[in-house]
Amino acid sequence: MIGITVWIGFIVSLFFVSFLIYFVTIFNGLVRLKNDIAKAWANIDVLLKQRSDELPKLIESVRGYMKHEKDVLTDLTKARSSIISAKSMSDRAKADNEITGALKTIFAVSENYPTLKANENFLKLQERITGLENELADRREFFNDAINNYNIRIMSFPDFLVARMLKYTTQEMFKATEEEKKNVNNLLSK
Amino acid sequence: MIGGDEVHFMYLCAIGFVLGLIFFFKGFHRIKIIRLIENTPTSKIRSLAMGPCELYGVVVPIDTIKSPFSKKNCVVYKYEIKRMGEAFWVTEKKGIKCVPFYLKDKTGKILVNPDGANLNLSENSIHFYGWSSNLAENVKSFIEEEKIEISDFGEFEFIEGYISPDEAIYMMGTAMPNPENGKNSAIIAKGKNFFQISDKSENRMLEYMKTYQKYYLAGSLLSIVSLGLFIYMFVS
Repeated sequence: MIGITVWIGFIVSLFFVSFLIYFVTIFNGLVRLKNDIAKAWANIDVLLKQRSDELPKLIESVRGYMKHEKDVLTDLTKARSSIISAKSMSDRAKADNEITGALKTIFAVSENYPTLKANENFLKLQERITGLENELADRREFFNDAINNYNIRIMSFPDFLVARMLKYTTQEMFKATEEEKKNVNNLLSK
Repeated sequence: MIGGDEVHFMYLCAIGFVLGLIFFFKGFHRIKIIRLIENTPTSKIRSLAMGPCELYGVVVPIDTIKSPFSKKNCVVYKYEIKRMGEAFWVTEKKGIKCVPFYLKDKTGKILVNPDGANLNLSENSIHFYGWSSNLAENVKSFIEEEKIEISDFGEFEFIEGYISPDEAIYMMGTAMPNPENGKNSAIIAKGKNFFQISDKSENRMLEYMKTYQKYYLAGSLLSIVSLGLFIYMFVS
């Protein structure tokens, strides 16, 4: 009788300990994934700030040359203000897309101004900002990978049980704007 | 009163339990590493953030060393010399040597200090039976240079793995500032986090690691069964 009791106690304890270890492993894993997303976003934010700091210099350097391109400069100024005032991740992402679009327009339009293109200051700024844009593109990709890993994990069995307890929900990735998609579709249809 | 045979059996159960526990913790640690590799997105060198990172790239050497037995140019090698004992292989000597190199991908390159990395490399081996004085010159010269003492006669296996220049590798390490090389330069090295270098792709490496998981799982079961039998013997 004592033997059977000890056996039952042993098996129950075993199940309990195994369940606890498994739960803690999944819990820690999900917490890590969530923090990875926050870190990936923070790393994008660092570059957004750097780019934002370069924009007033760029606007000053082109203002004298591109007197008839007021709309282009206004768009860029507005987009910069949006990102400074943006609080949430989605607002900052939206403002980031606006700045990227405005910068593409400025650099495209600058092709019509040979004297501007020859300006050393402008060229340095263009190089710097293009470099930042490339790094931003890489970090957006990294951010999307982090989101993807997280979303897969919280939707897979048995992690989704723990995710539900922690009230973790799927996150949205960085997406191209409708304008950018239109440009690609136009390109493909030619 | 417990008889002599039963006492021996209980000792065996206790040993089985301890061994099983070791397998359990090794397996648990391996699961953590597998999950870490699976869940870490790959970074591009151009936009690398400081801290733990996963990279793919091609090796660009600064300086090279010779692999121990095949004498090929490389930047990292590991070797193991085994000898057949009474019933199983015994490791006589093993070691690792490395030199810093650059890792290059489509976006840039970064300095790597591979010291302290776990090396998951494809291995080549030379099997030899006879007097160690009849070993190939390449092998003998390495043994003499490194002042390795091996048995005069026996069955040996000389195993090496190395990373050559221009080879594509996978790396998980820590990116940290490298002020010696300039204001904005960085280096990948062993920080406080996991550091692994492999000549296999991420998927192949994970496949390899997961293959050995089942042995660790079997070991964990050994622990449970041993403990159960021990308790049974003790109680009955």
